[in-house]
Amino acid sequence: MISDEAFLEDSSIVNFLKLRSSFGILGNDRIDEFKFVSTINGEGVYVFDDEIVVGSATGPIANPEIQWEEQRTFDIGLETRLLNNKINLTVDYFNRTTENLLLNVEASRILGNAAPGAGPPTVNAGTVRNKGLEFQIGYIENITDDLKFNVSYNFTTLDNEVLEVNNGIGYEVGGVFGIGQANRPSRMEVGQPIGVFYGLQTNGVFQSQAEVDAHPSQLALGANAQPGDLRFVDVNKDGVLNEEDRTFIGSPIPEVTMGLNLAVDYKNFDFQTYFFASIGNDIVRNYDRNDRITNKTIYALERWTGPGSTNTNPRVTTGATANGVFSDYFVEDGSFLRAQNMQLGYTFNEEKLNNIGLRNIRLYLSVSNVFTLTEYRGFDPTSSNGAPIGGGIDPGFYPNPRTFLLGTNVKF
Amino acid sequence: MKNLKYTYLLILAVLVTMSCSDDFVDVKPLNENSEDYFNSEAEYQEALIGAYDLLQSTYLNVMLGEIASDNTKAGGESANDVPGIQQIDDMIHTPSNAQLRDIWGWMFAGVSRANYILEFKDKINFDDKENVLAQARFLRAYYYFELVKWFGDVPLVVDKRILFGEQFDVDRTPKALVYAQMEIDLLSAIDNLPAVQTETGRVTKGAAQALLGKVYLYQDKFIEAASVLGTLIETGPYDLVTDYDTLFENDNENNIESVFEVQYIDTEGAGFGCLQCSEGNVAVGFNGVRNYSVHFLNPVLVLISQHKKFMMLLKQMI
Repeated sequence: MISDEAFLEDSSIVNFLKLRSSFGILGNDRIDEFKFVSTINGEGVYVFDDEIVVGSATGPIANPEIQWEEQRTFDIGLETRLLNNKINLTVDYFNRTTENLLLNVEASRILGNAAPGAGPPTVNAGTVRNKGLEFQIGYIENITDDLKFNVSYNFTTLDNEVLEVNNGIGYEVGGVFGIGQANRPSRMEVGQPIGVFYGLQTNGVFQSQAEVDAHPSQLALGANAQPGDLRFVDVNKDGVLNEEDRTFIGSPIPEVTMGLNLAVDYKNFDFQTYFFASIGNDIVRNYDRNDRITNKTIYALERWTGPGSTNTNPRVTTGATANGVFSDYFVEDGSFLRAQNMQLGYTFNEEKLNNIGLRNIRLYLSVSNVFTLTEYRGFDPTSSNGAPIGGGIDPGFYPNPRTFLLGTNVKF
Repeated sequence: MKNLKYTYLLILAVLVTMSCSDDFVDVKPLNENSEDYFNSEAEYQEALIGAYDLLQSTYLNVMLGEIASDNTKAGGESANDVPGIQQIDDMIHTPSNAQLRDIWGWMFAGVSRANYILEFKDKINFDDKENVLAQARFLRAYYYFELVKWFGDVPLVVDKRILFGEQFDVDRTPKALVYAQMEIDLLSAIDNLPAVQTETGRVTKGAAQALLGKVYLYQDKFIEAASVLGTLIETGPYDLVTDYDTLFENDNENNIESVFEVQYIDTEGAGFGCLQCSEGNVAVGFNGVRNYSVHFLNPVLVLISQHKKFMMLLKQMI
């Protein structure tokens, strides 16, 4: 408590100043029980004599070596109030290392984990480090008796890095992209943020057959390229494009998230709003469908239609192409600013109300999900299933609705 | 005062003598531990149903095998629908193929379930046990036969499940040895299976003989194949149907010509998330006419005209 020290005791500027620090080790209790023992909870169903017969089978693969996950968190911060307690400010640095991170991961299918009702084991996948800065500032002011306001703003930076992967091959995979694509789009790999997207890199669109001919063959990706198709980068420079050319093409984890709360009271009116922003996270567009009769997204209008038309969007075709293979073409900047909520209220004068036997009436209009500013071309940049490996992939989730609420509070 | 002291002493004494055991930390899982299973005939029979279950997933083996041939085109909603299937049609598939991985995973799931029963084959005795174990052996041979046909050398593990952690130490076994294991399993199954089972759909002696004959054929052991298939024809309770036109009709399932048939039912399907969970035949949903199904596996015209010719010839012969 620095503000109790002699040199600050009578300060008119610094009313409160506290330095704090903590260190702790935590387990994780959000895990299923008995993951270390193989139990009879699989699905074994067949048909004899034209009737369904129900048998039994083992469930998800057991991991007898499973251990506790350990979170070691170090935190150091300053908490202060300034100028007659009008300004409060908090700064924290945190460094959290999660060891023996518990995850369900792919495992060799000779274990039988692809059986009905079975599934992959839960393992201590590795070590992940999160560090960053949390900053929060608030300002409260009564300008006059009629006008008061209260504003607070916070941001958090996050640097996530995988320090260790325990399975011997150096990475775990997860997530789903497209229909029936064998390679998983997300990874947990040392030196990268957890859930990093792993796919092909593109370098524009082939404008002519001459450009196609001058480029390594893309046949191994599903089809020979034609003018109008995406040009993939031969990352490992072996003269052929295949899955070996995949690389890191984005991260679903935001670099900074921030929030802003504002409340203003003027006479009988009150107004509150909350803004939220996420910056630096990538999102995968995963809902393009390629049937003749399905709707197309609007950027199909900006498709490649001939030499020089565009170097961004490939041609639209139902013929065989490799354009649908997971690549950075589908990875977009998912940064956004959203006005999460706005509310305007009016409270009637008490004296007049008392005459009709009421203590208080407040009318209000509240709007949630007011607007979102984003470059993301999909419906909703907040779409994610939240999986540690495989999150940030938007399969066309139903977007958040905008809701309007008109209400009254009455007190008798 | 003194009384109170004695009361305390008494409480202390009771506490000391009642010192508890560690039982309360030894909580049992809600589901039965798979190591403590197989305590009754019913549990063997139920695990056996579990081993049969993966037969239904072999719709994909049939489908992909046909697509790889020149009898059919891959089909689908477009030339990019399910890349793994399209790539097999074009013969440009790579080791990363979701459908081949499905076949690998589902057939090994079948192997694992058959091995689970055989791991505990000596636990208890009951009248029908040899029949149960023979069915499990047939199923293990069936799944391994599929694996060898698709992948050549595959990890061979017998009479035990592969536990997590051991998968890194299991290497591929030369397919000759996998075939040898199939022969052992099927010869044993032939000895212990009845010619007719009480329930339609269970494997019989004839099914094991037929599968062994095929296993021999795949190794070019023609004399052995002729012998076991000859025995099957002479002694098996089978015959040809009189009207070929009706052979593949719905009403003619499990007919006298059928030696072994995977059983499906139309009352329970599955979602894309777990196609191997279906009790219905997924191929029906995948290979029919567009707008009624996903429209894979489109026969080429030549095949249709050849089939017509064949039917004409057949009618003339009769």
